[in-house]
Amino acid sequence: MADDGVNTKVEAVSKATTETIELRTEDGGVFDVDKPVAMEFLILKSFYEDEGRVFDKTSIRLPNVKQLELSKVIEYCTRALEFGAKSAAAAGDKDAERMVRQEREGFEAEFVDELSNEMLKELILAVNFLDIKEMLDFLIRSVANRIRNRSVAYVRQFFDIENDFTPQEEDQIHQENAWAFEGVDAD
Amino acid sequence: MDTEDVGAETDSGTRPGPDWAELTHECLANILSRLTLEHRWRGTMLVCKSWFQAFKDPCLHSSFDLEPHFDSAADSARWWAPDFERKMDSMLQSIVVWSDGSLSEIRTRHCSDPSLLFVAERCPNLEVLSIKSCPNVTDRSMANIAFHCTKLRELDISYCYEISHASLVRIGSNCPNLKVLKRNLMNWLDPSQHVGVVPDEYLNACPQDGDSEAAAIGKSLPYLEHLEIQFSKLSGRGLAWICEGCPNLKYLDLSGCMNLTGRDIASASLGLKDVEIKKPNFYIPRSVFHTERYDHWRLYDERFQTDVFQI
Repeated sequence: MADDGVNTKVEAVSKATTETIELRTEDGGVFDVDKPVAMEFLILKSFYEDEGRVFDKTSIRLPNVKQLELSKVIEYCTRALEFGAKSAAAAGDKDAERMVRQEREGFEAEFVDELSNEMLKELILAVNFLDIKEMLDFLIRSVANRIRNRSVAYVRQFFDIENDFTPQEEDQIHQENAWAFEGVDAD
Repeated sequence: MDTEDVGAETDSGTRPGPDWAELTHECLANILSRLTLEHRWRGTMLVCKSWFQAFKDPCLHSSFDLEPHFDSAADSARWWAPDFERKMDSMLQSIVVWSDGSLSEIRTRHCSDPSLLFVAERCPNLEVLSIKSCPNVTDRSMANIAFHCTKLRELDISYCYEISHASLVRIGSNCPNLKVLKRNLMNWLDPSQHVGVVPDEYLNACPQDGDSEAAAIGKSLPYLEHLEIQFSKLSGRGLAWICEGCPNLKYLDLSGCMNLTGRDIASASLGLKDVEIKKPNFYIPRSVFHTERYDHWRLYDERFQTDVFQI
């Protein structure tokens, strides 16, 4: 395992004999990722399986993905696989299943709490690109939680979106699509 | 070491850039789908043009359910005003357009014929139609609904006094899947809970003929499993028609049907297996009648068979 200073290596959590794939991010990060984890990235799965490529020592470059995001993705996917295995092992035992579930919920809550809005956005873009269904679902739920019941202005600011409606357009949409209960809520 | 690029050829649709406004339509629609209808409508529609597009995605409009909003508050006089009806019609019509034929469930109140006609035209996949308290929905639009929305399985037209039993017959002829019918009337025995909210003319216009309705139900809806006809004025004969014509009934709500006696109910329902019947409370002085308050007086039901309250 050569260490040339600027590279970041992520160690396999499970068996040392697991195959790894080298992934390079657009900002120069290099990651050795366990094959099971990497295969959670459907973009990689289809790259290898559908196109019949052989696992060799080729390094894969991931445009659109930066170091920080990839390390977070790897962290999540690795834990997700672990939880999956624990869940399967606990199958049939209600108490054990509940414990695994709670442990997972605890991990996910902590994971998302540590993410800034900016980071959450970057992760969604990365995970969408890498096509990781379960993690995408988790991140999208988290974003929905953060903007739930917030105003239009807040949502714009949260996502750093510029309003491209003209005032007239905005007015027209508002008129045509009035929320019937506005101003008519129960006393 | 060789380096290969992944992703250049696998992207379908727009490449996600750093700009959130351009986040793939699918992702956006996915986020929006996690929000309530109200928040989507009020908090995200106007964010920007691409969000408006995502908002209009048909997958977000297969169900239009405003009952939680109506239910969470007491009936309000403002809901019975013409301009609320206009806004409700407008909302319903927008949903119909955006759903692009996928609309399968509508639960709302206070809409009128024009929007229902539009629903009939554009929603062939409608399975649930709950439109309580719609004074301006008539047989005209219901005929179109019957004709076009043949997959209907649940219909609630409670407190819609301009819909006659003729519509029930049409629904019966065209909608073989109809299993649930709710045709409740307002509490005419003691309208105090409605006075001041529901316009007086409407409250007093309560349709009279419970037996004609019962005959229509018994004749046209043989597959019915769930029926609610609170405060119907039907007689024992009408009830017998219903029970004969709807052998699959599992739930029957007869609260407030003050022309029925315990004997009527017992004999009419003899042929029904495993049916749960909510009976009217017989031993209630008329002046203080409220459906829930005197439940315990049902105990007197069998002992005091009285025809005193026949109207």
